[in-house]
Amino acid sequence: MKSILVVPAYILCVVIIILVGSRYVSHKPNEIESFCHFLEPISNILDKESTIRINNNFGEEWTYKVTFCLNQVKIVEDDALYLLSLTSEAAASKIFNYEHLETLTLEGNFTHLYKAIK
Amino acid sequence: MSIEIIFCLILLSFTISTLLPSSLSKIINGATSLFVSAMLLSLLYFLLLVVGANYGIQLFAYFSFVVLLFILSASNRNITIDQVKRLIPWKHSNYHPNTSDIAFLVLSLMSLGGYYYYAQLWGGWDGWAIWNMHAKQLLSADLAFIQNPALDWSHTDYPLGIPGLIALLHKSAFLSAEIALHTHALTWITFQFTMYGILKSLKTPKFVLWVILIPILLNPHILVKAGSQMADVAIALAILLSWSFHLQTRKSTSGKIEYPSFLWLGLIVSFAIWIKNEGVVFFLFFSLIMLNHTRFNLKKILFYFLGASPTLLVWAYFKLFLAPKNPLFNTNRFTQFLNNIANWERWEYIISSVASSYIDFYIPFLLVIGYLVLLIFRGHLLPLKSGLIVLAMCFTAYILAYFITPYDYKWHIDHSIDRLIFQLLPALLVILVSKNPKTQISSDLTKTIS
Repeated sequence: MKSILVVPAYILCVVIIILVGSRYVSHKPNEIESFCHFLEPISNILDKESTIRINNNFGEEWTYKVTFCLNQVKIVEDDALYLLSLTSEAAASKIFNYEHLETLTLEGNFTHLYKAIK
Repeated sequence: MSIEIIFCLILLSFTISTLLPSSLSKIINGATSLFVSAMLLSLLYFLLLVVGANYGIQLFAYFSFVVLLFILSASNRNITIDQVKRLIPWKHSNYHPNTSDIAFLVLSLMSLGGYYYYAQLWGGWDGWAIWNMHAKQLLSADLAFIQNPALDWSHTDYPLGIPGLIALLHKSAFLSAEIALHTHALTWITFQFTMYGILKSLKTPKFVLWVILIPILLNPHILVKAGSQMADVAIALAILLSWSFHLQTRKSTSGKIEYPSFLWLGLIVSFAIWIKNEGVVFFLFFSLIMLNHTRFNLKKILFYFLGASPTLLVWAYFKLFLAPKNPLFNTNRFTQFLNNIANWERWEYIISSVASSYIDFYIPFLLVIGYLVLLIFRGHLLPLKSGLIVLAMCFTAYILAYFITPYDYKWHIDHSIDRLIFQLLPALLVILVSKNPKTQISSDLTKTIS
């Protein structure tokens, strides 16, 4: 086989895989989004199971289920763990506790969280 | 569209490839120069952030660095246009890809496709919280996050080699938000070529070569980890490249050891510590074996540590003045360690986890390793003993960490043991086939005759 064709053909295939692959990955349901924000004010979601919506950089929207109670945020899905840890640094230090993944307490940090939500 | 950083990376790679020892094969030369360039730029980027340099000054520094190296290279080797042309594979008149090369390229494309199939945009927990989040912080030229106790959960004590590289490439803005994904894909491609390049240059029998390559490049578990945990491939590549470089430069074509090769070796091995904390263990044990290998020749040792010094100095500055202490070592855990080591239940869990990791994820490699060991016993292959010792010591150190861990040890083992195995696995496979008894015997005979 002519050597002049092999390397450029390989590079071309790599570029195609990267382009197609990155489109595919960016459309996959994703458990973590670095650029996100809450859309609903906290008063609407207290004491009931809520769905948090986040927007990513591509204009897509992902949803997570969590329960907000007074002074407490109950994680319904593990995915929400990541989400909350992004919204409040103070909350993050308490949230990342391996032994209590199901129920986590924010110890009255709602002001901070509220600001983050709004 | 701005591509200046990528342009700088390519220029630096070309320059470094002309400086590397001539005994390196073309593929290992290419992989090494790309890896060294990326890590050098990452180190430089961190230093420039420490002094608060803006993007303009950063660019000036990167290109000045490239020009300086090029002048050094040109003055040493009298570079001609023909030599530069020879670095481009398809311009090389002697390059005629054989069936193995083409089969490897197809395998490489399949593996890259697998990487994207399993990859997550922001990575899994470690990929996101440690590597990509730190990259995002570095991108905003903010080093304060390292000392923010509220961010301890993201392991701010971890070195910044990979985040620095991601942040730096992000400056080439046209690559947008998926840059972390592509940076790790580049690492994965470099890893593939290093694996193939070293196995080929060691004249590994063809069947053995494919028996090693196919499972490592197409194993779904490895592809999942490559596309979600991110830095494990980078540290595996650093370890693999260190051995590849060492295997190819132990003796130059003239049969003598070249001193500058120790300088390069020190530099390459030291990058492991700037990628992950586990790299410190590898650097330590590799350096110890290297001291023995040089027979304590002061000049060689000096060259080795001179090469390692840029990374060691930056790493020491980061660890001493910026990073919080690693949770494994931030309190005196000696008594607890003694209690844990006497706890049979913990031993039992570790042993069963290692075994189940191999059975669940790496079962093909058990067969491959078994096959290679059989070939070694039959005298068809010879392993590099010093390599086996270093990897065994690294693995022992990894296991000892489970006796001082402040976390729930079962959780810690469950979430890391398979990745630790992967970090050492490629290097282990290469070390097992590192000497071909036939070429060994012929070189011994040549020595005896002369």
